[in-house]
Amino acid sequence: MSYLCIRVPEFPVQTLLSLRPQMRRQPIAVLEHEPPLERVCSMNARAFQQGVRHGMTRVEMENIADITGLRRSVNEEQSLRDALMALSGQLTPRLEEMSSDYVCSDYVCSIVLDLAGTERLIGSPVEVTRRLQQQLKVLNIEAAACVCDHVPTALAMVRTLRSDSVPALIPSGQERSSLAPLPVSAIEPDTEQAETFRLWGIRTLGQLAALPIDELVSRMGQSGKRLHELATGTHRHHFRPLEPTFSLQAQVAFEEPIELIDSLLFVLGPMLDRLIALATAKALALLSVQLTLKLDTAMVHTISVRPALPSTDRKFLLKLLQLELAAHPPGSAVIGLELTAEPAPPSRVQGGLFAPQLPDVSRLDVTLARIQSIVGEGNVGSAQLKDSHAPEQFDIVPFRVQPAKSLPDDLLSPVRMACRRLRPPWPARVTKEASRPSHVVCEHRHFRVKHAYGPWYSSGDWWNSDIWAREEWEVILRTESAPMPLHALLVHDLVAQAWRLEGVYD
Amino acid sequence: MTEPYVELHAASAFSFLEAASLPENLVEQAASLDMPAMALLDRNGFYGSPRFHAMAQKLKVRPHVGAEIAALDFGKRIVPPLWTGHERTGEPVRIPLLCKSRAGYQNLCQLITRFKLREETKTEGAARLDELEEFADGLICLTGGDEGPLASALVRSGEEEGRRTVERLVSIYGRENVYIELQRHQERQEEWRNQAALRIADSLKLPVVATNGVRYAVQYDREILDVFTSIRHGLDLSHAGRLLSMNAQRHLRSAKEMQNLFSDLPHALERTAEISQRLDFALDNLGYEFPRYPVGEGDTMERFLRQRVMEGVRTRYGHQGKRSMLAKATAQAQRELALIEQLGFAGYFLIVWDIVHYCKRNDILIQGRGSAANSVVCYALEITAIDPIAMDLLFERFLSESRGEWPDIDLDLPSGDKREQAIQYVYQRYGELGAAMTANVITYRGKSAAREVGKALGFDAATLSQLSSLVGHWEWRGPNDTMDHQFRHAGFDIAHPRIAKYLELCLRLQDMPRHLGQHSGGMVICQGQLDHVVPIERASMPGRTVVQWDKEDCADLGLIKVDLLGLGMMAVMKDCLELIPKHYGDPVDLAQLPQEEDIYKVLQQADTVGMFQVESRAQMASLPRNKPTRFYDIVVQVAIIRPGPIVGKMMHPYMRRRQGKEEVTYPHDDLKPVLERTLGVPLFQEQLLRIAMIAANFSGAEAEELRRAVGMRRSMQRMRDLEVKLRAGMTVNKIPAATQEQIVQSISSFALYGFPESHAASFALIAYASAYFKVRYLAAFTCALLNNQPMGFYMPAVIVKDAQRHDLKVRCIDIQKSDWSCTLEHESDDSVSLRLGLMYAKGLRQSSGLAIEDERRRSGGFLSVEDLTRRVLSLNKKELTQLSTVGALNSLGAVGHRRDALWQVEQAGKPVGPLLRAAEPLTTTKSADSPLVKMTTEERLVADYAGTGLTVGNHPMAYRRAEMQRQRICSARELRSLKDGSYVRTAGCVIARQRPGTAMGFIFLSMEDETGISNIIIHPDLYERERILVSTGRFLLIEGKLQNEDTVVHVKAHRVERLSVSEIEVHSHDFH
Repeated sequence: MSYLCIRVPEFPVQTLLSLRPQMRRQPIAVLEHEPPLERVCSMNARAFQQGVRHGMTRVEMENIADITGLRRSVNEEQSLRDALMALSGQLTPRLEEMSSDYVCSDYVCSIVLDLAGTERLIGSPVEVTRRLQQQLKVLNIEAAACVCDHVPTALAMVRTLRSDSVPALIPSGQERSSLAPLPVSAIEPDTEQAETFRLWGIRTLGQLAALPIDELVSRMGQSGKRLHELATGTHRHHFRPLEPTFSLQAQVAFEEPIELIDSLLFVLGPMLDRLIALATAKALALLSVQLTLKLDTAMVHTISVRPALPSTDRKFLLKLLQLELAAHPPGSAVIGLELTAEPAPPSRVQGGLFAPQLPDVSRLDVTLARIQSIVGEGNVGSAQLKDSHAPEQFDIVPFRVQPAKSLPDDLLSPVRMACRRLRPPWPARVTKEASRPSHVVCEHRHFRVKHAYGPWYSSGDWWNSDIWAREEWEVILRTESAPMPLHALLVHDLVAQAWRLEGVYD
Repeated sequence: MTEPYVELHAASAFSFLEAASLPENLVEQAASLDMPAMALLDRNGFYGSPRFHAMAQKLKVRPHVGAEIAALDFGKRIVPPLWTGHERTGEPVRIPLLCKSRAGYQNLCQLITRFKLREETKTEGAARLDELEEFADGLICLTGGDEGPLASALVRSGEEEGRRTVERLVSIYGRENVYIELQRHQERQEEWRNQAALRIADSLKLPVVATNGVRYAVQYDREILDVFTSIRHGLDLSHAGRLLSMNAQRHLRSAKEMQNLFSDLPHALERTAEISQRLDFALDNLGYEFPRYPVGEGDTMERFLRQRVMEGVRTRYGHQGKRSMLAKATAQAQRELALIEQLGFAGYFLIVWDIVHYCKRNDILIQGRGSAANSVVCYALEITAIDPIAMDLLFERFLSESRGEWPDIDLDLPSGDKREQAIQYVYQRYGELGAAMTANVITYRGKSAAREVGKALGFDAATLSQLSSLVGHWEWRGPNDTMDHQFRHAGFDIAHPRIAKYLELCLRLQDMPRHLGQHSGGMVICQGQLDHVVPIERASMPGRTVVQWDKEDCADLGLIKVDLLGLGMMAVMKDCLELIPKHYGDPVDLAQLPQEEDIYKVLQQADTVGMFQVESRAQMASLPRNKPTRFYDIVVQVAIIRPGPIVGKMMHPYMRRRQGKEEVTYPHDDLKPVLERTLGVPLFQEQLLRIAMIAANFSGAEAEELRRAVGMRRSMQRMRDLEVKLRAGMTVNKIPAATQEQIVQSISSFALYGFPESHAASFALIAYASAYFKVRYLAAFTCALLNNQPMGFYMPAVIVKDAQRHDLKVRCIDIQKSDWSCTLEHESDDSVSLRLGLMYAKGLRQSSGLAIEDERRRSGGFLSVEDLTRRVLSLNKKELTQLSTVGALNSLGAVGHRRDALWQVEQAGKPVGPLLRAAEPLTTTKSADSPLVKMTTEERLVADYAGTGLTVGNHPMAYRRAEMQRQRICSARELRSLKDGSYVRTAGCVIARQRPGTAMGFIFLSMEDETGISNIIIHPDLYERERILVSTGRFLLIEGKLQNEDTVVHVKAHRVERLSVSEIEVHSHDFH
């Protein structure tokens, strides 16, 4: 039984360069995090030779002449990872991705291939390695490779190999001798263990292997035993092959483009049935459902619904999809559907005997979906104030029925008036006399200011680009035409230098 | 016409993190707004009042005094609503109180002291109702803004509760002393409270007064207040939400602005001027009285002092060596005593004498320094050790009739427990309300500002530490050393708005008070009633109390202080006095050390590592030129290597004259008697004063003002005013313009670091003693030095290597022999050697070290590692590992080398439980066969430096000497024999880096090898090119031109290279 271990170091930079081969000869560094806190997380050999190091800031990096900085792309890395798995999968169905043993596994990609039985199909392990490396070359990827019967030994070996070096082949029974010259860091001891080895003068795995195991265990415990086994190539590794992921997915293609949404529902129903059946078979429910519509314009249109609780209620889910489709119609004829769902354990709600009657969750969901289809996304829910002096600072959070409780003390003020906010506010032109508003022109109407109370000043967020500053007046406005005065909130935005009528008092 | 408006409720940055402008800035703004008077009310104290008072007097604004007092029983301050999720700390409300009279001020001081000292630890505290009632006289009470009791009551329970609160205030302070306060920051909630307050005022027939509850001088500083609020609550600005101010309206407003705001309530404004008229008290009317010394019944302090002084004069001058001076000393003492009696200072001298005597009785080494050394009285009372008669010192520098200032006596004590013992004696002698330390206001400096502003702006920990590590590296600020250059260099984009704002805020926070610390040794003493003069509060150190003013504020307001300063070298002296008789059998008397030629020879050769005041690189460079041959030369040497004389361009002329290379001349013939002793070059403060008096006809009082101005940091403006006067005086005396310029330059260069002659003499005494001990008793001196680290210019590694070069045997740490401290041992050849103490094993706790020492004394040496761990249970695995690594366990049974020990402690560090421990057989050879290989020399060196910071083996450079010789790299010793101007290569381990402010950006490196220390000069251009290497390189190879003048050797570097010697973690002492 043989294993092939491949290791792609500096994965972020290799990922980016695999799609940009014209840049391979340049010194390239990859930066992660947001400006101004960007840091170098990966670099190619040329950049390293010029002095670029992990953790440098962008400016430090730019101080080194001719270094090109690229933004890290996690999506591209994931797709390359998938591609590597797919390529390896062509050689053997049994693959294991090693990452848990790496502190910064994110920047490295290590894959172990179980070569058992591949000899007849493809050839010797050397041949498999050669083929895999050829394919990696096509992808512009450099990886170190090692073939060995013992996975941890292969892993230790690839950690010490350069990515452009010849693949290592460790014959069976020679694990210990092959490991002996490698540095202790090849088996990745933790910081404390590394310090102990440093003090003991243990630099190589051979030196570590030479220590009497009993004595070592009495000093370092079971972790010492593990490290000793790793150093002698005797540590037992449990191969954990990647399993196909469980996915809830159904697709259909139409022979004729369909324009009517209702017609789609006839197809959607059975698709939903299938997903529900698959989920129920694993004692799961649908947490969210995503529908992708392939349009005759070669575009796709995607909608998704997410009930308050995971559900397997076909009728309910279909209704939600119908409402969502009504709110976001595709805009052209549909030639295919793809329905995917995210599974989750079904919810079980235990009603209390004396608990107040709450609306049925699924009916409430449908109602909220109906409202949302009318007022638009993000406009349904409960308003939750944000901790800020700034105006209009609230979030819309999902509506949740809560037991009634009295208002907190600090919201009870002796004088409290209702102000109806105008959304959007009305732009206004204001004339001032003696520093107070005297006339307001708004919505093509001319008002005379009978009384003005204020100004009330507020400002904030001066430390970032959201800086704001307002001067507010409560005004009583009159027009010649209307007999009743208008009590309004007049605001002067001091940053934009604009007046607005923002509210009307009851 | 606009009616005058007086701001009666302003807080300064001394309300620590609750207001954002310095008191001086508030007054300046008030003056610019033509405000006739202003009141400063800081939180629970008068922290900023002296500075406010001083600036207000200067700008002709009447300064009123008061404070916001936290009060229990009046509810909690208004806090953001519950839903915001902010922690509701429930701080008590604060009542603004203004001092009408001195009685009111004294009451307020006592009130603050009472509730501050009620707390066990340093904390804000709050007054109880009965305390408010007890100390209510002479105070005017305002109802406050949003921090006040009325606002709190209105928000909590409405108007009725508000009315009850005001009625309680009226019952405490009286109807005529309570004013309903109205503030208008143009916030709706506040106006609602104002309307309620007006109704309450109307119903209770109380007057209303307008204030602006000022928290900063100008609107722009609201940003600082917001940053402070974030820091105070431990949140970043983005999460501080409603804790931050709503707007920027809490600035100082002009009368016109206030009139516009309060146009509906004109009487509220008029009342500010009325109240201002009622406030009679100002800080120059403190009523401070220095304590009297208790003498026997029927005796007077004056008579008691006279007796003690005369006894002292007889003791000091009665013996044979000084009998010739007895008559002169007696006459001088009589003259001084007459002046002391006339000025009423007898009590002060007796108190200092009492402290000195307490120390002497209790075996605490103590010596007065500073200008006190000019006085025979101080010498006779054994306060100082310098003989002013023999040295012909100027008494007037210490005390003069015309000055009207208290004398200033600084006492040096050994740092540590002994000093604390002396301080506690003063507390116990004068009572908790009679003595306290002076404060030290901790202000935002480069690093602290960088860190806290960074936190407020929400930078992550890694960025923060990178940002703050950038700030404040070297003393010199070259053209490229601007903060933005440093930022760019460290990889931050200053064009980015967030970084730019960060930089700006860091700069604006500089010098803002952060919190109150305690001064290192200044104590204020006042006849049991210090709390009538200034509030006293707890210091963070247990058993210490501190007044709310720093030493300059105390001096400005005429409070007298005694400085009980800790001096590391005094502790070394003290240890030497014990070690020398014990190990060498020689009795030593610090006051009677013989003046020996050998000692001066060593000083002339600048062989001064470890010696007090003369060990720095600059001192070493000048000693061979000064060539001290007598005590006064050391006095000059101590004073001359200071920024003052160097900036004033006095150092080089003196040295040239000393070497006979330049003629001794005087700026003016009349100045010859003043400058003769220092070869015509003014070096001491006393000389500068005399110059001012002779050349510019300054009176004693003016000379005093000049002295104060040159000695203080905050006095640049005062210095400039005096300069005009000085020049005018010299012009009258027909002194030529060039000479005038020279004299003014000399005086103003002392503005930063003046040095009085008497002070230099006191230091010179210790400097000579340290030289004497080092030359005669090297083992004892080195042992004492190592036991009192950190101190001085060099790291212990350098001290040890220097001692070894002087043939001292230094033994490594040994578990069988080492105590916690370093000790002396006797070798078979009767020589004395030094044994390193366990304290030098990094990471070993003192309790573990002492436990090892005790156990060995009690039951003898340890048999094995097993035996050690069994007997000293407090030793943990980390400590055992460290001891093994540095070779301290090598002398144990079955331990062949360090790795043997390491192998054994790994197992011994996991002992069996107590139940089985006794049953386990004790072996000396368990695990004797270690499979580990012995450390190489290089590994041992690395382990020594990492584990102890030094090595007693060969210097790291010695191992590569042969190779370096092949490369023509000279050793430090070889450099000394090379000709001036030769091009040399040298290498060494960097032990000190300096970039003095006086050196125009040059950097001085001290490099050590096994033969000695070499000095390297780095040009600013080279530094720019090799910044990182010069700043951080541990071993360097230098190529450059040798300067060898007057046996002073420097290499002027042309090229710097990293030298690969070892992985050793050598730490240099870098001076900023």
